[in-house]
Amino acid sequence: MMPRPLHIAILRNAALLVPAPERAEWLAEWQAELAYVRQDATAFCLGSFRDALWLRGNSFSVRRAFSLESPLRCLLSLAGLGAMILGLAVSFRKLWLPSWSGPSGAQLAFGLLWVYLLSLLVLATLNPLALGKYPANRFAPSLVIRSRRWLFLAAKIGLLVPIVWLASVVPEPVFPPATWMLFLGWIFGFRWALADQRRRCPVCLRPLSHAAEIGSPAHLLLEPRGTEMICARGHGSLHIPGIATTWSSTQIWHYENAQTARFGLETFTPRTTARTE
Amino acid sequence: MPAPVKLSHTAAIILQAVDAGHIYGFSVMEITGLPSGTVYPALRRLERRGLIRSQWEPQAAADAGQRPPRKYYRITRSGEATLRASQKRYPLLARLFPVPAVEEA
Repeated sequence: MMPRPLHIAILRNAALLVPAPERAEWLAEWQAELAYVRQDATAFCLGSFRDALWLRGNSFSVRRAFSLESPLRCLLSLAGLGAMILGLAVSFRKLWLPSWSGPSGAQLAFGLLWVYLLSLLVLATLNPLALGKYPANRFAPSLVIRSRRWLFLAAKIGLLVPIVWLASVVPEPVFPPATWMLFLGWIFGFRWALADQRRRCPVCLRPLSHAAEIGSPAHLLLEPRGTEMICARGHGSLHIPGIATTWSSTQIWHYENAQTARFGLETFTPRTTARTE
Repeated sequence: MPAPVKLSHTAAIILQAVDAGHIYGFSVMEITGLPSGTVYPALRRLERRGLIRSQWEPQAAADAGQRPPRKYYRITRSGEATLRASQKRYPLLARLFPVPAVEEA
């Protein structure tokens, strides 16, 4: 039989896989349980790896680390990706292909502008560029807060443009059709930025949730089909029409009172349209 | 009232064991015959779903028994509802484990 210190060592090794905030309690539980194991303690301890891996895979910190929910985290992730690709591009050019020379500055700027405009044109034909209607009502926040979503969108696109460009620069010396990569990369990048923007709350800029199908396809006039999503912080709800009609062709946002929506102090929130952005 | 969570057969067996009074991970292992690598992650899943809740036993009780304090699990109301639904789904489940007279401290 394996001596007890070795079993403890197995548990301590497995504990390294457990997220740090939960590690001490996890190890204490396994060590306490080990005290009751009379036979086959090695198999018991080896099972701790599976438990540790499950915790690692399902820990909230892992989800948070890879989620783009917070607008700041989204921008930081894009900036981090850009920095990584920049580092790759620089080392690729300097270390591996020092003799390679690209186009001049003016040629490069002209080429980039041309590809940029072309990708926007193609995107506009493939996908509507409109972000939807966000009519202000009495619950709408100030213009400064409402304008933050435009800044957020501009920041995302501002980061995506160099990221995609740099990503296409890296393989250019060995893979000449890099222009096509740039073209396609910008189309998909802009498309993602717009789609991401449409599914965010215009106030807190966090993703909307609790999507619910409403209406019926057979009652287009009185009960039009669509999807409704809400902001978990109570800033409002988004209606996405299932079928584009003359009176409801794009998604529309309704600002609501965050306090009453969250605590249920008021059941009726008027959705009057005062002005349109 | 939300519909009870549908459990796998293994998870239902473990929930049944906890309900029957096998409130420690190792005693669940002993009564079910399942390995530790199955039982402990399943207990965490059940706890995340709110079907059981865990608690450390008081240090004084552990000191009296001259052993480390153990973490024990109790079934919640939501867990009881889910277990009842699982017993309808798996009819033999309720007959699996007798309630122990005295749980090993």
